[in-house]
Amino acid sequence: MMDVRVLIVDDCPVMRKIIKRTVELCGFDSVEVIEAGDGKEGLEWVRNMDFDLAIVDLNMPVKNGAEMIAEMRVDDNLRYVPVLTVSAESNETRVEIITDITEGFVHKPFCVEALRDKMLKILEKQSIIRPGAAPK
Amino acid sequence: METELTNKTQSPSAGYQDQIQEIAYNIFELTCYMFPMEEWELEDAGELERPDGNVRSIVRFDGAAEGAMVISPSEDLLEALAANMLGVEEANDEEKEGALCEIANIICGNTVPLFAHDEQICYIRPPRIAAQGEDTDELFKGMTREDVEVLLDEGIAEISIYYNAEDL
Repeated sequence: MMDVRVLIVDDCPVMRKIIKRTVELCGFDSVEVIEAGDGKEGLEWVRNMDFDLAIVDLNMPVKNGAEMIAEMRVDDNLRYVPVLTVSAESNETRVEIITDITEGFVHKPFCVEALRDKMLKILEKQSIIRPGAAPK
Repeated sequence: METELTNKTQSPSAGYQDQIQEIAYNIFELTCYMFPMEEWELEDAGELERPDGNVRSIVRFDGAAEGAMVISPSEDLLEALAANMLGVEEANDEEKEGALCEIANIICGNTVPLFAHDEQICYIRPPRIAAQGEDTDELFKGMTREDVEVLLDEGIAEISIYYNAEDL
């Protein structure tokens, strides 16, 4: 397994901790997790640091996840940063729109295994980790 | 129970309580590892500590349907929420409020499609903790209210959903 740097953007500190714990359970040699409380703060981080994955909530104050992702996708320097959205959004149309512009969507409520699997699949696809290298 | 806050016509949502309750139980189970009380435990449910409304989370929604959800947990449930979600022995007040807001956000996000017809889009606003004494009936005056009670091993949660019945 390789070293990875993950950005978690969620306004709820409790959810950030749950996601952080899930990331840490993925079995990477080393994992650096950066946390942001809204889309504005998240954008500042991705503009200043390289990330292997951004895990972004949709429903946030100041700047929501959809706005943050939209800005990333029109920015030549940020458009290829893999994004996994984690949200309680249940409207199919909106989920489709989000899924089209991101690498994955995890619906809340989720079990940590589902989040971990989705995350590893994205990292495998980006060749950040080898296929099948994920711990069971 | 459905409450008319004004003289609006009866809402067509008589079956919503069961669906909201089912969604809430599922979310408490998946997110907090909490399970509904068994039938035999319900006999003693009257003796359980009730939610006192001191800590409540409010989530507004708009778009295809307009309204809000308010969740009020009993003190023991509030304590267990954050502890279970974070896997800690005891959570601090900030963690308790954060956990409650997150649960409110998830329940609201999964419930609101019930009130949005034709798959139209609803927008869920970020949850917040209600101010002490904040009167949500007054805040959402003119809307129909659905009340649901969730009985879990760890305590009781009261969930109220306010919505414009005319949106349906």
